[in-house]
Amino acid sequence: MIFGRRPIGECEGSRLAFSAYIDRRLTDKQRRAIDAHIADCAACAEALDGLRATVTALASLPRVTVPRNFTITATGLASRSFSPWYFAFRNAAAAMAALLVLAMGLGYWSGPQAAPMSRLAGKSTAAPASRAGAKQDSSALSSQAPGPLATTAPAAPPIAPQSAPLAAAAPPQTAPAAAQRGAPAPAAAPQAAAAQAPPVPAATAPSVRIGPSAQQSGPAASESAAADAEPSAAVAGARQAGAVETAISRGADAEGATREKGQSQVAADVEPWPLLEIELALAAAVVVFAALALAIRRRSS
Amino acid sequence: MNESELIEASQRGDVSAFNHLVLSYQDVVYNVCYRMLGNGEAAADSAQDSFISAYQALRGFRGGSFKSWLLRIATNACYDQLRKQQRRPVTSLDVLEGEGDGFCAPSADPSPEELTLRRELRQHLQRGLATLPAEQRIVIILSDIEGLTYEEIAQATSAALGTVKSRLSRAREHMRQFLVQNGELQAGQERQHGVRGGI
Repeated sequence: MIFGRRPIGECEGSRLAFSAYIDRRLTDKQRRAIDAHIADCAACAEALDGLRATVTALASLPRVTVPRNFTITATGLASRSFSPWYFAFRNAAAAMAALLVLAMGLGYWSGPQAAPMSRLAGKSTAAPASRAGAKQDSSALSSQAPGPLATTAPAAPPIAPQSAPLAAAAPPQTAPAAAQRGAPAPAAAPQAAAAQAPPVPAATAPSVRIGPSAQQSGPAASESAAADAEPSAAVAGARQAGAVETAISRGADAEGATREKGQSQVAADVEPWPLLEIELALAAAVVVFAALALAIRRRSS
Repeated sequence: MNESELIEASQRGDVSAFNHLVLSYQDVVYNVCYRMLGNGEAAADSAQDSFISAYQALRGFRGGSFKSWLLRIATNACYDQLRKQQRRPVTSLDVLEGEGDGFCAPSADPSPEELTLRRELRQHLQRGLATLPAEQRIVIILSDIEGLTYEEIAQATSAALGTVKSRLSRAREHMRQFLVQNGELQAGQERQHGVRGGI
């Protein structure tokens, strides 16, 4: 005690124990310590009295009469519980969210080039073009006939810029093959020109200036375009030569050779599953289902 | 049937047996909800939700104090209601408006002046409770209004015993200071008598 005042810590310590003191939840030793303190400290004795009065006042609050019975009935249970649609939509939203996470994880573990979100910017330019090329190739291949050049001409421009890296990325044996067959038709000229270009190592292909589309798409997309368009060049050559089957086998050989070069990423970029579209669809489904579940919950509560 | 038999029957889906339990505990559940929420309508909704939830969750009841288990459900229902009120605030507290409505009649025959003092104290107590954080409010309600032990409160609030003690200590001190600030604990001996003699 200094100048008749007690140390603040002593009072605070005692007051923290007042609640347990009132409830008799202290040990005898603790209780004696509190008794000794309040005998010597008027402020704490007053605080303890006030605390006791507060507890007494709370205990004296009147009981509130129950306005009605809360017994339950089967119909009451059915009406108060949420609609089955709520659970259906809630579970659907949860399932979609889980699938979304799975899809994103798949994209992530497939590598940065394959991650759909990372290709979001390049998708609008390179991917559709490469798909157009792929479609064209597949249609040409499925018809198993060299169609007139006029029919392939409209599709040529989107393919043309991508066929350059294709030729550049293609193994040496592909380019000479295409070059040997020649390219007299105007529509196939860019492809042929690209095919006649000296073979460039695949690693340097992205650096070649080939056009705005491929520039925007970046290395991954250009590799992807190369992979997609590779059969296209082969098919073009084969079409001109009238030997589609050979071209298919050459395209397959080219892909195999590319893989052998250790560019497994190219295979990944062939993308049998359009992950970006799947992810966007799943995200939309999550939002829709969650919104529906929330709306039903609010309506019923 | 005793309580454990009623519980077993309820677990087998006997709604009638469960309703016996409801009738036994609806007073305590409703009062806890009322003190937590300060609003009769919201308290009734929470109490009803509590019993429905209890019936649906009864198969998971593994013994122990049924009252504490039920109050745990009621506490969660009150928290849900409080969250709802935060989104859509209610206008006022019943305790502050219609005094005497729904309350049990006092045993004595007090004078009008005393009735006014009691009403004021009741208002201050409910206002003070409303200023407490929800986790402290439920502890002080269960302890000082409903008279539960620390252990029962710990079970009802899913908190450790030490947590219950500290929350109760803080809540009581907060309420004391609130009453001091509102003159309830310094209004002289008459008011103190009013407090101790019942409200």
